[in-house]
Amino acid sequence: MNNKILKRILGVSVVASSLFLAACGNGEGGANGDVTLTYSIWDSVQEPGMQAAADVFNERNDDIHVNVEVTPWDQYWTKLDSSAQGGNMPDIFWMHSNEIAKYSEGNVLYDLTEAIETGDIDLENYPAELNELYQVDGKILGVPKDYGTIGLWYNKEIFDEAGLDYPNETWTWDDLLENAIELTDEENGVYGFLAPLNREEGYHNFIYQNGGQVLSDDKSQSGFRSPETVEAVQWYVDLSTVHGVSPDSGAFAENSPMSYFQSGRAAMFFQGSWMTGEMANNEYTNEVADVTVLPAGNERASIFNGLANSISATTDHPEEAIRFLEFLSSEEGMTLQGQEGGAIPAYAGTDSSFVEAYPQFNTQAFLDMMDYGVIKPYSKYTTRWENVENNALIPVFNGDATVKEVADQLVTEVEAVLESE
Amino acid sequence: MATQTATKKLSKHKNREKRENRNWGWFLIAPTLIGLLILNIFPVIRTFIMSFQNVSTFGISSWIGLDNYTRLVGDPEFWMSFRNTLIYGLVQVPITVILSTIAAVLVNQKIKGVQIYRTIYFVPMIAAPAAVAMIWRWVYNSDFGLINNALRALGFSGNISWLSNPNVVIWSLIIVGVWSAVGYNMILLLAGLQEIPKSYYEAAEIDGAGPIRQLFHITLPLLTPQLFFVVVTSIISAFQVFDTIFVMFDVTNPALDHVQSLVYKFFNESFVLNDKGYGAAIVIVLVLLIGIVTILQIIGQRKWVHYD
Repeated sequence: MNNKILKRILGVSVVASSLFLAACGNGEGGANGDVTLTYSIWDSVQEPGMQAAADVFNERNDDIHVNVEVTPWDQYWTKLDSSAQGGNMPDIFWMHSNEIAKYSEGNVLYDLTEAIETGDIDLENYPAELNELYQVDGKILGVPKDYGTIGLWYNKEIFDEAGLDYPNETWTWDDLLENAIELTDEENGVYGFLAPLNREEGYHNFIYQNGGQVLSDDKSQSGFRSPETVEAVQWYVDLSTVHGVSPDSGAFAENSPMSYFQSGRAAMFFQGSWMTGEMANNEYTNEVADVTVLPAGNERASIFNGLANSISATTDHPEEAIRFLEFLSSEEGMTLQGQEGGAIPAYAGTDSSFVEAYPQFNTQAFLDMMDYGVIKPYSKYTTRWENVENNALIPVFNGDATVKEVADQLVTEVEAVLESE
Repeated sequence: MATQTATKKLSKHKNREKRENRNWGWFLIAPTLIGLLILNIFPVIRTFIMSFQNVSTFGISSWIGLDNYTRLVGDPEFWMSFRNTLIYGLVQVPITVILSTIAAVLVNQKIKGVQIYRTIYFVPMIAAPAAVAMIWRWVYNSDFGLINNALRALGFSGNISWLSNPNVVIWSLIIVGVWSAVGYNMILLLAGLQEIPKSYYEAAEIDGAGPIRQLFHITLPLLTPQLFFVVVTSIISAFQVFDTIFVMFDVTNPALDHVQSLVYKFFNESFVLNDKGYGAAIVIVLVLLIGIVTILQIIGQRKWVHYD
């Protein structure tokens, strides 16, 4: 009796597990031998744009079906890391300047050099710095997808009430400070400007506008060795600690700059072009917000960065993935993405579709700033030295130290990271 | 003769039955055992090995011996995390246990609606930790949060920065920890309370003991086995605090170093800074800490735990 029961249970479990395995092992290739590609991204604001491109591609290519998958930024890299180790990365996915070094070192990105030479993609159509960013050791590992610059957003209502002129391209640092002081209303909790501890959307812009650097050109030294850098960061910090036109670090620990702006408690702040969609989606800011180019220091500068599309080295369908990549990177594909307004497409000339997507804002400013855009500082271990810089400046933003006092230690620690690369 | 063969047949039959029972045993626990080996035991061994290596991109590793551990000893951020974890564990657990005991005693009465109270106390346990932390983050907001607004209504003029004052943040974390854990421990202790025979209480009443005396001389001593279990498991869980910190405090928060736990530092090192070898070393130290504290408790149980 025992044996009979055992045999029956084993029999049932064998059948059940084979059905189960058949169901979950079948990731690609439906009944008619279609190829299914997974396109992995992290920004749900940009999903409509990516989906628009995928839909057109799917329609034209009967044998390929692209699925767009959104994983929020916080989990995107952990997920990609594990999938790389497990050998089942998505076929095509977004790549970022912080991570390109790690993924190229791990040899998990498909070498696109040959495909680009023989295929339809022409790198001349994209910003040179972005092409460079995603080329490692002579191998092209990603095709630029978009670029983003930093703009000065302002609240028209607050300016109108104070009777002041809106910011424009003639503004300098002094104009920014003067107006911020006038617009700060402590009683009502309104701040003239928001200056949180933020690099890309914060003090890095000021550093380059003052003629300083974050990293030396050969990426072996920290830019905090130069007095221009220290001066710029101190000027930025003083906005909250000395002039009081910005909330302090404690306040920013609880409320993000965007929530200050969207609740009408800030007259001006810096924010990347990729947040334009968010500004449009919020009823209040859609009405009262607008953007212009960053004020000038001794020079003009705006930090820009761009994402790229990369293909997995272990994909089962490299040819199909390349075909989709070519479509995404083409003028048509780029225009489709830009029309949904998620980000500024990298293909020369298509960026106007981004401007047209937001008639209520002066988004042309973002494009104009590319004339003096500075690529977001990067190196092999970007996150590590950014972490060092972040931690070293926390007491400064707290008002407990000056930039000069922490500069030496910052330089030592950042250069230690750069040396280990 | 017949009896001998019969006995032999009987013992053979018994042996076969024993063997079959054992095989069934293995077969039935196989799924859990396999899962445990693959998902728990193997990763622990692997992490231990990783702590002696420099693990760079995607698992490519090289042996560096005790370097990670020496680096750990000289890292002030590590010691801050260690201190924060200890303070959190050694303060949150006693408070939780005391409040859980009081709650369990109160909820062990036959009053109307006692089930509703039990459910209300238990609900925090069902909510996802990340969701809990997000709500508490808003409750703690110094301008708009419930707590400061309530204090203001009561006439308290100071504005406590729950999430950015270095001296206060560890308490903010402890409060959330206590709030989450009281319900679960209360249910465990309630089960223990209901095992205590009523005869003890009846005898005590006859002898003229009041409720407070009964609590300290009957209830608590007979509850010590469950209390022991609750204390041990609570400490193990408290030393691993992470979710709440991750959601309530940003990387740019000036008070982060006063609340960062060992698991948080492990996460930061392994997944943000991409140094998995160092992260593994941190986690091994945490395992040792938890192990030592647990062993000390088990040795000490003879002194205060009364088993029937």
